[in-house]
Amino acid sequence: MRTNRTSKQIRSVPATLWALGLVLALALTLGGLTGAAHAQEEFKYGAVMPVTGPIPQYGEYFIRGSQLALEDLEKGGWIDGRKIRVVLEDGKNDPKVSLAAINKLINIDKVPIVETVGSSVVLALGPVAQENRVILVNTAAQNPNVRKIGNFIFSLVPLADGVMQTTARQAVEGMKAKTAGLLFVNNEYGRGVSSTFQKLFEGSGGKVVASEIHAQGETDFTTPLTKLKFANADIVFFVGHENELGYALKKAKQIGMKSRWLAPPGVFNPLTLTLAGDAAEGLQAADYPFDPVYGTERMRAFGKRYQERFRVLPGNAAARTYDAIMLYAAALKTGGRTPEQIRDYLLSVKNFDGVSGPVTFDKEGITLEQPVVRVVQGGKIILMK
Amino acid sequence: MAHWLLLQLLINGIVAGSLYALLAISFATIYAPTKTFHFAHASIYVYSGYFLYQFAMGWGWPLPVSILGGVVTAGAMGVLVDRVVYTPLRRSGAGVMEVLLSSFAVFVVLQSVLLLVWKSDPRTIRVPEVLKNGIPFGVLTVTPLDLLTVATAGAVLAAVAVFMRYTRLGKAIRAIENDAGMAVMVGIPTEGVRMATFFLGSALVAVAAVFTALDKGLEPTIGVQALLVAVVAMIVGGVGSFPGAALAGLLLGVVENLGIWKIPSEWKSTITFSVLALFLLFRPSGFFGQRVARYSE
Repeated sequence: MRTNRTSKQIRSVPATLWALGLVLALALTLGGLTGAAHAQEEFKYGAVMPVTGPIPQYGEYFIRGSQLALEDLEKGGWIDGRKIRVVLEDGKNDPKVSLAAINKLINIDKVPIVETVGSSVVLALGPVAQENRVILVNTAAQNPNVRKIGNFIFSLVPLADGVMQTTARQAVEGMKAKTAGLLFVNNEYGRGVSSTFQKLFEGSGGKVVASEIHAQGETDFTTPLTKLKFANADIVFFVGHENELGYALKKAKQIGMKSRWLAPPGVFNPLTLTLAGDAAEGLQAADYPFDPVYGTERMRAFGKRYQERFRVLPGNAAARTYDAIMLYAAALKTGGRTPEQIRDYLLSVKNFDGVSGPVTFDKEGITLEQPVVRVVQGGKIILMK
Repeated sequence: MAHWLLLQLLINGIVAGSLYALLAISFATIYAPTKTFHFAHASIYVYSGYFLYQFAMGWGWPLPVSILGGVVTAGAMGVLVDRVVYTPLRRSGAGVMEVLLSSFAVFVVLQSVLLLVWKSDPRTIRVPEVLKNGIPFGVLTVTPLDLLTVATAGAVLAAVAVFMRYTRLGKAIRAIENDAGMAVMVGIPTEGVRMATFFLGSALVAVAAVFTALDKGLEPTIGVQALLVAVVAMIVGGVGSFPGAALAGLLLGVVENLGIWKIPSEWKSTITFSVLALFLLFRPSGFFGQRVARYSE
């Protein structure tokens, strides 16, 4: 059919173009054939990740975590010999860019599942995934509104509505704080988590005396910290990413701030400690149980392998990416093919043996994982009793 | 307590402003004589920070040697960008707009190369702790690095002023800025001077980058903000006036920091651009606009 039409169109053109046309047609046919064959062999796993932009470390966590997951799946002979291919798009942690990316993944790549991070992004992509009946897996966003988007949205991360209860309790009971200064990143993550904390903290008798906002990827915290220093609160509750926290802690020490620091989960990782050095001393957080150095045997094995491979310890998002892909593979192994079948599988999972800890979802698709309280002592991250 | 905060903010503003002054001068050094809107200046800024990182942390050179290495390498890189991209374009008749676009392209390419070479992880350079730990004066604090920053910026700016005023090369740069055609006619080797301005401008921006890297660390994306500050300061100071650019840089730093006394600090860059908008409205030729006009008579 295709060759027929081609020859008709080029009947009146010179010989060189003839040849060119033939080659082109051949290439097109071949390309189409192999493309089709590939599509049949492979399962696709879509991802919209900030590979560049203000928090590129999350792109790296994804790339590295998924690489290890795919290696393990390959060792296990894939899904009856059919490969999983990761289709990664760069969302720059920008909702607009990420929306274009997920539309491409859904409409062109036809992926049944998309993984993403970042509260602003998850809240923007969630409704699109829900409408197209494609599964959206969140591996790092904490904004409590993620819960409300719909039944195709899964979160491997516990949301702030749960975790902040532990955090606020730690502030009031553990750190004996009466006043707090807030320092949060200017996006849905920062606003959602800090306002949840403020509500709970003030509900338990605390008072928020100052509130400062910083940009994503900020490296210079001189100004907001100067203002917080003069507000003289018992604790600073910081909401942001690990790179930002590292720089902020360092600056706080340099300008002689006395307040103790409390952080949200997930930012207690090697990057923060590398950047902050001894300025991280005393930092506390209600954190995720994942710990590549002192955690369970499975966590430690993952941490060791990751470190040997990439020469840094994994952040918890890397572990969750690994788990998300393994969960997807497990759903495929049970014969699930459509997003609906995969969703039903995920909801039925009980204590899935993930490297980030056992995974069970509640009926809204949010993990039931409970936080633990950690503190930095002597340059190490230590579990508090 | 409140007035102490104001004083602390003023101190912070002077420290930030002295770096802004360096940025402004570095951009003006290239822009004024060559009329090249060197967008890739942002890349040179970021790269010089990463050069310093590579020398000091990657290869373990002593810090002063690494700083010098970073500055010189950045200067050479600026010249290279001009020779490889702008000059061939200029020779084939490209106008201001084409060169600006090519500069933007260079910026994009260099940014990607940077990500390939150094990855996106934030980097910090180990500095002796004494430099960074604040010296308390009552409730106020200043770090030795802050003092060093202001002192170095002042010294460098003074050196540039002397250089521009009294040396043959400095005079040649100002002559080309004044009237490029006439400069050729009186026998100034304009291509050589052009290379010198790119070297000087890039080396100057590297000085600002070095202090930023030592104090705050490095991320691949910090260049654009620095470039914006430089351009705003140059315009506010009056295009072509070096003292104007320096003064405007200092002013921007101070205004930015004092401005957020009562409003959240996220409005900092809004303040920068408000200053720009005010100047464009009421004094489009900048602080020293008049003097620029007299130069070009």
